[in-house]
Amino acid sequence: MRFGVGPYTQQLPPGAKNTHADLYREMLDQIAMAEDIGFESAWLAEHHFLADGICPSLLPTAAAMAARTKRMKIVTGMYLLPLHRPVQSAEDVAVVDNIANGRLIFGVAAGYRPEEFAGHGEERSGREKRMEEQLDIMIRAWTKDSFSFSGKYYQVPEMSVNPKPAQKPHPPIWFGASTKAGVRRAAKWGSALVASPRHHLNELIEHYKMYREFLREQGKKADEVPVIREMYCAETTAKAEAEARDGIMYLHAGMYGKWSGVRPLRDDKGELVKDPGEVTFDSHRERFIIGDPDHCIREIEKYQSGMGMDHLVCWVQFPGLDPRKTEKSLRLFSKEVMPHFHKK
Amino acid sequence: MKFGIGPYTLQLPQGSGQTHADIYREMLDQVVMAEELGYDSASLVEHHFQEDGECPSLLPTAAAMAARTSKIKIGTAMYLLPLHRPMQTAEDVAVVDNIANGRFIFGVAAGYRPEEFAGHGEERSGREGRMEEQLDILIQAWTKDSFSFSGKHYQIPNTSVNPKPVQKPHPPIWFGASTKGGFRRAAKWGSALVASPRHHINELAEHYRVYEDYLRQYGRKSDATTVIRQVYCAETTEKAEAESRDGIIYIQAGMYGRWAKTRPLKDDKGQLVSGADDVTFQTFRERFIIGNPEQCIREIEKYRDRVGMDYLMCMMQFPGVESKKTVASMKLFAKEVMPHFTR
Repeated sequence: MRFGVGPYTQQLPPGAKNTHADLYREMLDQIAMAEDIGFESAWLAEHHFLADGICPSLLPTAAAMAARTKRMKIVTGMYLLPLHRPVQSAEDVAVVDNIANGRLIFGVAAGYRPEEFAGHGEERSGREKRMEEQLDIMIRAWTKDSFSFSGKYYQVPEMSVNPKPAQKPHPPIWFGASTKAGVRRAAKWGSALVASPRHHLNELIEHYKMYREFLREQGKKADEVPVIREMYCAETTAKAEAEARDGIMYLHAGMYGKWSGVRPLRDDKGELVKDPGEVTFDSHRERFIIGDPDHCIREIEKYQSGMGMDHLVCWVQFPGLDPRKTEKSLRLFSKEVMPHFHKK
Repeated sequence: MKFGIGPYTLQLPQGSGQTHADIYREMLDQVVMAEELGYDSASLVEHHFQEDGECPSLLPTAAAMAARTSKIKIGTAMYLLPLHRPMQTAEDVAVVDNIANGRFIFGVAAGYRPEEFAGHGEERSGREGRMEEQLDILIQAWTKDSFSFSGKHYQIPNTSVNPKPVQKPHPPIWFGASTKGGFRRAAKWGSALVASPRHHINELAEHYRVYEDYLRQYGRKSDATTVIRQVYCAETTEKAEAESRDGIIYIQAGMYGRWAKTRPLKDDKGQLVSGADDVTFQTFRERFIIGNPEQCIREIEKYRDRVGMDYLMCMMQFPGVESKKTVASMKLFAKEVMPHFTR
């Protein structure tokens, strides 16, 4: 079982006393510390145009993370490919993989928020097909001395993208997806399906069942089974809940809940959320790995046996949470939870 | 007088025996050392689709440099604005300035290579007008809570770009330019004109005269009079020339000479050249600051006295030159040349 940290978002809640510069510095310090205590990957997320300044620039931030670490994988979770342009994306990914000396994992997703497409002047409708052409272009750019492309959405004249990535044939491409078509795309183009923290374990079991069927059809295997969960570890479960709940709710209600009209969100009973106000700590509690070390261990085992998770990505730095508290949680987790899974 | 290191090009010549991962690592180590030695900034060049893998991704690379340092400024020299899209550029620059805790210098230029425009699906003709709209969008994105834009080339719906940069109102915008239109744009939108290493000092004197006229017209001042030169310092001038000449000609012929038909290049006598073969160490020697410390000091004084230079960007890492040698030059330059100007 591997353990990662993130995705980091550098969100500054309203009324916060610190600055974005503080958040970036704290994040870089935190991942360097996490690397020292056994976490093997550091993740980041992308969104645009929000008042809290959620990070819109994954590849520059990933490069900074790579420059501050030595062994950890740096994973984009996820780069919203249809908001970007394929040739520059191919160039940027290759350069970041060189800066990271072959440690970049290129996680991608289709995006869903209308205002992000509008702000970048890209069509939202048809984004999945556009994404497939982009992936085709990027893989050619990374693996061929030179190439050209003529598709429905993109025409690329004969060109040579350099440098090539450090990894051959290219960094692993992992997908964030949850619809049938998305999961099929993940099986066709990528080498892992990344589970979003907005899904309950019951939903994930369904997604992975579909994914494994599509993989069989393609004759492929997945690199890993990575699952992102909000995680907070303290001496008692009550303490963990008290310290984490506000930050987690900022994410679950403020992100997933707020966009539940555009992208479906279900509560722990499997009911569709129709109103962000319906999202509460209790109605979504089961998908958080928050508690004392024993509680965390038991929860992780559920994902291991329920869906074959082998890479738990711990979303730990909730917006507004004092990073010193986060560090304590990470250290306790490293000391009391991780060894349980490394004995196997 | 301030001194910068770079711009770094991250070019890997054929048969070098190294990898790109190696040269990125060496560059980052050099920048950390430059900070310790007192260089004021470290910068990068942007080009695309070259066999030698010249860096096409300035903002990710700048972010890595920022993450490894805490005092030295990090700059682009130059980000080819018309090849990119303004909203993502605004976001990326703001994030890099946050990672750098307010140390980012945003150097921009219009670009000129047809294949770069073709590869990015952008029109080359009209790029200057497009660039001005982009600058307008960038400045509004960085300084307003929210904004919208409707121009000849770009339409942006009401949007709020966040985070904002650390520096207020925004990072300094420095320009690479060498035409009259470019000087005007630099004076109107930017706060410094940065002279390319492809120009002889005679050309630069004229460039700065025109630029300063425009500054007066717009009622603006510049931050710095910045000149990029290939710089290399060793115990003797012979040694400096021997160690650097091939790498310098790789750049001067391979970059400027090769595109001489698209963008004019003149030798030391002021004659236009037509291609890479016309570019030799002898015919371009006068624009390199290469020699022992005294030689370097004398050359720098020429620029100070003739052009008013107060910021020298030292392009010191030439393709194919061992990093160890470049580091020796950086150290000798910092020890024996810089103090002459920073007292």
